Amino acid sequence: MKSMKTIALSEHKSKELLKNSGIEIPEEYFVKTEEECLKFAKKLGYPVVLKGTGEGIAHKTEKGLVKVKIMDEEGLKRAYREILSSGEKIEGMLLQKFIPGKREFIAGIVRDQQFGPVIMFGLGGIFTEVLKDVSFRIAPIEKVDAEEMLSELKSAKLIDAFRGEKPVNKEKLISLLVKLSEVPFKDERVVEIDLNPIIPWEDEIYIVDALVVLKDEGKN
Amino acid sequence: MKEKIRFLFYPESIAIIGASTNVAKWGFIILDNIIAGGYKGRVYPVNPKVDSIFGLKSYKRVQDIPDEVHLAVITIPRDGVFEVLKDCAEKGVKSIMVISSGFSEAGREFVELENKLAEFGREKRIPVAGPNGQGVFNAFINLSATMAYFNVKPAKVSFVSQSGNMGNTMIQWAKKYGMGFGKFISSGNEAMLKTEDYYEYFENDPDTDVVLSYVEGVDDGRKFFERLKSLALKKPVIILKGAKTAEGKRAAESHTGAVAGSYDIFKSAVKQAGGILAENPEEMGDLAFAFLYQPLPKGKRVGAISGGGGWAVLVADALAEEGLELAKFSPSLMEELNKLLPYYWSRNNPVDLVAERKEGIYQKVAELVISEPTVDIFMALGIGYGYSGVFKIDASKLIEPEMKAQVKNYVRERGIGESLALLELKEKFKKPIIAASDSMFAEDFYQNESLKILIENGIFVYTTPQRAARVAAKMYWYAEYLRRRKGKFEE
Repeated sequence: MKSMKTIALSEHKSKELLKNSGIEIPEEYFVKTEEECLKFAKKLGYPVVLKGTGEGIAHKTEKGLVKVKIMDEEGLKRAYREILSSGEKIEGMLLQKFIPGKREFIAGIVRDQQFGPVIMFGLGGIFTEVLKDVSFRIAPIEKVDAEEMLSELKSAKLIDAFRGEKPVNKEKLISLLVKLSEVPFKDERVVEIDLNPIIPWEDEIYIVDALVVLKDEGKN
Repeated sequence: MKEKIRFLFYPESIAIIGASTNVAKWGFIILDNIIAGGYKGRVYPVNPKVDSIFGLKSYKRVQDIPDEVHLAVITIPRDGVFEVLKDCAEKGVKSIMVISSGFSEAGREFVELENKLAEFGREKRIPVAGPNGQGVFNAFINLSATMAYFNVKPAKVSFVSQSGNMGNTMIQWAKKYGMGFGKFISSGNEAMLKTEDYYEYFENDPDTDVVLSYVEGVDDGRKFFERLKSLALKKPVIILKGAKTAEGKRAAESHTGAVAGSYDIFKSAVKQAGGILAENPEEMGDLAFAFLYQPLPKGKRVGAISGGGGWAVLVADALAEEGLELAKFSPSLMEELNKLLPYYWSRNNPVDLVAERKEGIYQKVAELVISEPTVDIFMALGIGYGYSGVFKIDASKLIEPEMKAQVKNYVRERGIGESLALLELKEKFKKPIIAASDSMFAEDFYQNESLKILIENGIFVYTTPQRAARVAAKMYWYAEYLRRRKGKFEE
């Protein structure tokens, strides 16, 4: 099988692409100085999350480039400096609001050889690949397909009220899946997408991290 | 093209190209089976080397046949196939089944040849099945143009299979259990006509109510998906997937890619399109029987009766595992049951009739349970009761010889009475009745008339509560699938 050349977009660029396809991305700022960082954190309100990003940097968590639940300016300054001194080629940092939800889901797109674009939804977090509690559908999907995807998970109960958290806003989640399933048709370059994790909190669905892999049509 | 596929299944005249007197050759086997099967149309052997075959006039070339040819079955070796195809086109043959092997399955160098076969069909507008297929069968016109000869009663089940011997498997099953069978086509390498083309044909075929499909791979996933979706909204499609474990190779950078196995995706596509997956041939038969003869359930609540404690427990477990529910019984139903059953009965759904059951009790309890508004599916366990007693009676040293005939007849009549009552309830309440009984394990189960009556009249009797529960669950799943899409797709 001929393997296709692909390019993985940074989190920030991935989210830009998704935003352009009509997917709601939580407010976040791409900052390049500590000063900017502090300014926007005030705007967002604490606690915040700070992530170092750069071309070709994958597995940010493992590299210590993700600092979560930063409670105040003091903590933010410390986090900023730690990320800078990580030794990675940091091009900038993403500043986001910290979402305290305990439930993590994953949604994504993959191109199947036989069926073309396929959408996936499932249990997210660190156990995704071990538990494989996911469901697939041929994209694009309709609402009824999305509903069935949710109900078919072994951990479908996580979508109801859970440990003091409200039930997931199903309507918003379903509409997110329907929109996500349309992305590879709006943008032919899209090979794979990961929205991971997706954290529901109160009435909202937050896409906390995203990865878009494109066909590399560049210089070959 | 889809109208022309009809000629493959309903030919009025068939040419066997490569007809032979050698009993080991396909050209003999197919011809022999067509005749043995009592095919009602006209049969023309084609073989340039002989003038007649078993008393039938043989033609040098298909063009020499003084009649229209609806179906040409080609059994000659691969290297002669294209010459013969040209003859078929010249003759104006309406459809072609290529039995001959040695195409893409023989190696990469023959893929091109197989593509040529498809091009030929498209260019001449002739539907070509195969190559490397095992033939076509249609019980509605006694057509057995297949490797095996089947004498099975017609039923509205149609099977497209990417493997010939899966056809034998399912038709034998259907025959053994009195289900009947309709059509079978061995689609072979699917050079031109693909599984999804047959789906399209079956969708509008009035002799098809249930579709079976054995799939190893699909060339155009999207087309397969769309055709399946369209068909499944009208008729249940039961799919058995082979080559499940051959994982598609995919270089993945995302988690999504890493967890997406090719069978997972195939399975999801089938579900999304409304297809019903069977895990093995036996389950395919189990499902085909139920979908063919039972109404779809309106919900997932099951009312069950059993003739023993163990089975009542097992069925409750199996229903829970399959995601079905035991129906809640109303106080008035419980009151009625209390009147009928001994004081020590379980007071629960499933209703255990306990081993020592009074005459006529099965019928009465069955009617009470099935008529309960909360019951969507009725499960009749322990049917065929007492038949094993017939042999015991013969062996008995205590029952006097002159009494034996009388006792045996009593047991027999009781069993038959229960079965007839179930068949009546099926008509009266239009709810699915799924039966299971350990009597099906008996070596001579088919001499048990109470089982035979049920099976031959559309209530299959499964060997275990698990099999029965799985069938019920898949019927419910399909009914729900349709219900959720009805607003949009109602005809």
